[in-house]
Amino acid sequence: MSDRVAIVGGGHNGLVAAALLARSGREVVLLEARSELGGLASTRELIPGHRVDVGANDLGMFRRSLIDELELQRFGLELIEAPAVAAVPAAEAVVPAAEDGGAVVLWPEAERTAEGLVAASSRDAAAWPRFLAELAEQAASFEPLLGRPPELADMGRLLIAPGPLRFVSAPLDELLREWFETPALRAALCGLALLATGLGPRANGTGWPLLYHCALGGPDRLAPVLRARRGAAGLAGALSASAGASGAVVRTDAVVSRILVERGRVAGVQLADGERIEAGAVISTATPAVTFLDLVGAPQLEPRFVRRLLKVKYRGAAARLALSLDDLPRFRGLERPALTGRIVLARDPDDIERAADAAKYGRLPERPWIEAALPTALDPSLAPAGRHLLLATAHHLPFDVDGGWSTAGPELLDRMVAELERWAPGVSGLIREHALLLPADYESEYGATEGGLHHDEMNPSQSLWLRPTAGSWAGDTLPVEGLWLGGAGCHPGGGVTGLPGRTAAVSLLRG
Amino acid sequence: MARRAPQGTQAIQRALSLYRSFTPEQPEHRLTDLAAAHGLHPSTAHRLLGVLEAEGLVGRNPDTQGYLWLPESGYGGGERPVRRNGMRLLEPLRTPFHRRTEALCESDAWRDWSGYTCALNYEPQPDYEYWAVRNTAALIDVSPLFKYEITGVDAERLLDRVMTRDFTKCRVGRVMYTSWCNEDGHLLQDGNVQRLERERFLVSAAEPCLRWLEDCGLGMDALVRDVSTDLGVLALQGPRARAIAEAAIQGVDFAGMRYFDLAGGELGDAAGEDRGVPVTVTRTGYTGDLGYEFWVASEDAEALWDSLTVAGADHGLRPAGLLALDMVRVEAGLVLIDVDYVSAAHAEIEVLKVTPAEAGLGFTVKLDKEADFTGRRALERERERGPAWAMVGLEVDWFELERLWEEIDLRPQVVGEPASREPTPVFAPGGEQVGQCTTRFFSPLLKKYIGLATVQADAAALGTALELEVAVGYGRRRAGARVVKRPFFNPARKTAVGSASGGHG
Repeated sequence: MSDRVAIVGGGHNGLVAAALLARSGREVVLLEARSELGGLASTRELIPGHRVDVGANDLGMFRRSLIDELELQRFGLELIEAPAVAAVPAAEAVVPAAEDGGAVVLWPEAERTAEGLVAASSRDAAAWPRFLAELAEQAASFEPLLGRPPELADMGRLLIAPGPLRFVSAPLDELLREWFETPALRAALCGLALLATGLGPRANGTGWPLLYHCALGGPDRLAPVLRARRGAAGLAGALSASAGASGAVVRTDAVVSRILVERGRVAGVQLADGERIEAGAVISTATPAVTFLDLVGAPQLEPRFVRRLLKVKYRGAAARLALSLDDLPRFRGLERPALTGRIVLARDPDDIERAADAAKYGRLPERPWIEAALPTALDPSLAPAGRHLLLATAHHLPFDVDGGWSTAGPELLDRMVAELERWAPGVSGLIREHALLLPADYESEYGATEGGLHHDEMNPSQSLWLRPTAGSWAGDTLPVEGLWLGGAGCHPGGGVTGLPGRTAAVSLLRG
Repeated sequence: MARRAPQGTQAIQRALSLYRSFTPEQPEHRLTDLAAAHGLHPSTAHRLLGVLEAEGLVGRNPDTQGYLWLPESGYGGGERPVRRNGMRLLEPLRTPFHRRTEALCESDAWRDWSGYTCALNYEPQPDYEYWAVRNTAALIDVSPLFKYEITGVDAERLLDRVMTRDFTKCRVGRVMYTSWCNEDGHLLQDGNVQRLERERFLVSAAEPCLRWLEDCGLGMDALVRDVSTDLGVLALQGPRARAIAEAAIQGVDFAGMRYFDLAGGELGDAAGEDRGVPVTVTRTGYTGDLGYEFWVASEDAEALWDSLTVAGADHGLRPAGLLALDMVRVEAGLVLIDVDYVSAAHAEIEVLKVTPAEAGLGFTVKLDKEADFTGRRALERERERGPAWAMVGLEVDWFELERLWEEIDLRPQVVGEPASREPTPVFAPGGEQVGQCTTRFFSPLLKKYIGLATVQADAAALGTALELEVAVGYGRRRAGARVVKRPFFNPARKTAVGSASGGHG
């Protein structure tokens, strides 16, 4: 049996695993199908002269200890912290800024956020620090579980603590209504939590993604928005350099077509061009569906595992519209520093809920809710001089849209531009070029099953001990000996955290 | 492997269009014709018609098994189907031979078998039916077996993945008796698999396993179809079976057929009017005797019954019920699911689950085969450490049994009784319980009180002295028994091949 570890996929999780294993002296070969590294956190010139992040553009949830452990700064990672975390511009209705419809900005500093909230609701302003403290307390129950495989002992501890259990299982909108009366504030928090999810804020179980976000953010605050200079791929570049310096072989344009299994034990991988790479262990960062149904093949797996695998939900399709603009757009009520975080274009959680409703029935939302980012507000080098880059992401889209994406795609583009125009009047006049990535593109180009950017949906029924399936979780009890999952599809889940890859590497080293 | 129930409006449209096919001019249709006329898969048409039937809109013609328009029932007044608390009464199913078996069943003794009403014994006592299997020939309706057709490029691969036998070695025209296990190597079922064509197999099983076959076939180019109600199955068993079969069936070389061979033939002799009705013949059975099983489309079932009955008239052919079958299969040493072992599919506790070896089916497990069949690794581990249990034949010491009964002034009240399925403890002599006897009876042929028992592996060697708990009057006593070879009865004619019409074994 070979001592080599083969890693399928060169997204940030695969690279974290490669770097950690190589540092521990393991022989590592990482295989990335695309020409560039980073996967859903990569940067491409989708518009000539522009560095466009295809998926994640915020590295605020990336585990800090990995930056030190893997010496990522020495290997070129340069992080810029955005002054703002999230903002909801003033809605299109003409109202005094102080009342319903006024802009809301969440800053990393609780006091600053509270000060800004006074105009909308002094009650909400007073509640904000207490809410953050409560959130931190609940999230603290989960934080230790996210950096390692969950253990059954944790389950008992959480079950007897009613706070976290309630927060995990309740609808996010209901939880937030208990605290805040300002719709835009609730919308901002829903927007932070419900990215790449199929569930709307009125669905049970939507409290969990907010807890997840906070647990990975910091001990007492929302996760700050961190951007890598030159785009999210800066992280992949540094990880790759770190892994390479420790001896890992990182190959791009290497399409894995099979994970070879002999008598229930992994034997290596086979590439699309026929090359066989022997390996005693394989970490797959592909989705559970791609890993097991496409690469391993159902006939190699126990029927009871395949049954569970087929139940995994991948809802969470999104579309990314990249716009090259002549100038920074003017979102109502937001000053320039507020434009550096995530810009949530929803008046209240119901705007998100309505989009989720449409998606549920296979329809495009009338008004897609958009999470926007202006990366050039922090790093002008991403676009040619005089240009700005607007990354608009429509979440809660149906993967199997009525009529197919060839007709729904152009329609979505129109609706997204119209929606942007509602929030930032005049923005459509600034557009010079655009590029659009649809859910179908995320599946075909990035292996995101059904376009789910978190791989399997981040809901409580698919989290912790249940991710990806009941009884088969990260670092444990997968049905093929020597095969580990190490992508967003396994514990702890999606977002640029590095933790699934780390968990796989640690579990593998532990044996 | 998509097999979806019709859904939504499409199902309603299909059902309505099926219903419109019934007119005063043509009030009756066969399932296959209806399915073809509407471009539906027969199983889809069957489900839709089942709904119409449950609603009292169509019925079944008991004579032809066809679907019959019921213009006066349902919504038109007249006689409605009997309902209680809004539910249609659950009626036992009828096999395609039911009209024939019902006419012959003097005893009116019936037993449920997988929802079907089956004759327990035709005469008040099963003796003649039992002796027919051993001395002449018997006709046994075994249609309630679940039957699954597996077709497609990967049909062989699917079977090789599910089954413990090596199906790469199963040639067209052969039947393989096999076990299949769950992921932990625990026995789910045993059954026969026919290889009808290179890419067409027929699995027959005592219990449903469609979902299991489909789940195991995920990702393979194979189609699993439940054909349980499409086929009638008759077993013709006994020393005269070959002579009868030769007279009733055309186009099959019965003399040349080996044990577990399969052949296609037609009903009827040269003058018979049923000529041309296709029949699949397998040299298989559950009696341990010379015999065949005939697989026929349900609508041709009665023609098959009639042909065999006519041909068997001069050979002492009798219909035999389930009591007789249960007796002869014990003599043959054949285990019965949920009597001699519990399927892991519904074993409620872990300790009830057994491996094939523990159920006496170790010979069906081929660990040297190429395919990574379900349960393989668990069975490999079992081979290393050895099975914990063994299925053995038990022979009770007759003189000791007589002595025990003499104490209450009776002769052993086991003679002339059908097989008992009451699990009974088996002990080491004068010691602890080492297993249980799951079926036993007094074999009139062997003149021995015999049984099938599951005992601890170290108590399984031939000749091991054991004790069987016996009910003597109201008393629980122990009678001496020893482990003997299975099968208890194994005539040469069971497997003999030759031109002679194997009359005597």
